[in-house]
Amino acid sequence: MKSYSLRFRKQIGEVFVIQPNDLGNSFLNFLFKKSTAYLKRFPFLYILPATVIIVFFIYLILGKGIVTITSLLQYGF
Amino acid sequence: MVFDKKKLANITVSFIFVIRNFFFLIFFPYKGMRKISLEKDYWQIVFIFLLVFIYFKLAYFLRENVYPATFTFLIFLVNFFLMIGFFYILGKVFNRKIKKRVLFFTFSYSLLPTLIWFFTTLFFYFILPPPRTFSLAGKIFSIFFITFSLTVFFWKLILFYLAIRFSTGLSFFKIVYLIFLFFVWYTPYSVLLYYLKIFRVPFI
Repeated sequence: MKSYSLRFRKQIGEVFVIQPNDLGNSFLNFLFKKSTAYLKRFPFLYILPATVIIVFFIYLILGKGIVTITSLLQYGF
Repeated sequence: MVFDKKKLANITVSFIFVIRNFFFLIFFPYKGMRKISLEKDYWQIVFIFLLVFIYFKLAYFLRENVYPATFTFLIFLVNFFLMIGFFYILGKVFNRKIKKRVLFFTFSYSLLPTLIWFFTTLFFYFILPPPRTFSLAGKIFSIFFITFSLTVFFWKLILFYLAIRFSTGLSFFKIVYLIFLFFVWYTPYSVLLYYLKIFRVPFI
């Protein structure tokens, strides 16, 4: 029982290690909380589809230019 | 001898913690970075920096870079401490309670996406050496590679933001402002490093 209490206190201490974000407006705070909640757990679930859409648009705009960018990046390491 | 065994056990535990924290950063970045901000075990940093050094060594041997790996690693260390110093000094303006240790840990762990991108690019450089062609296969690989790079970049942005958030405790707008100020001097600095052929893509 004592160890559970200790773990609980440790967990609570960890959660409140920083103050909640304050954007100066309750609506903005609400929007920020809602949108960042998706990025707190396995963000790739949202990042990957978003990136695929972005790359699709980049391909539509640049066309073959995307191949040149890849070559440049591949030399970039 | 007993001391050595204990030390070895501690180092092994540190290594396991590094792996655990890496998984946290992939699956639960917020919770992971929060845990990392409370870390005090410096062996974990040693392991991360060792990974960075291994990367520079591999890149030097496989690509025959102009500069030796030790030199590139030293430049990386200079960049890293300049970055931490910048956020420490400017963060102090807004919040006096900033700890150097937390900055050191969070920023070290935020190198994970960087390491993954550079190791993967190194791997692809040998599997499919550039330049890419305009063939269908070349286009498909390009789309795949850009998607991968952008995904890692967005993940890096999240970890970078969280590193500043947990080490300075500042709010969103102040962090965005600090990041903007950081890139004001870091962009020309990166260009300089590019022209000196030290880093083509900034290793941050």
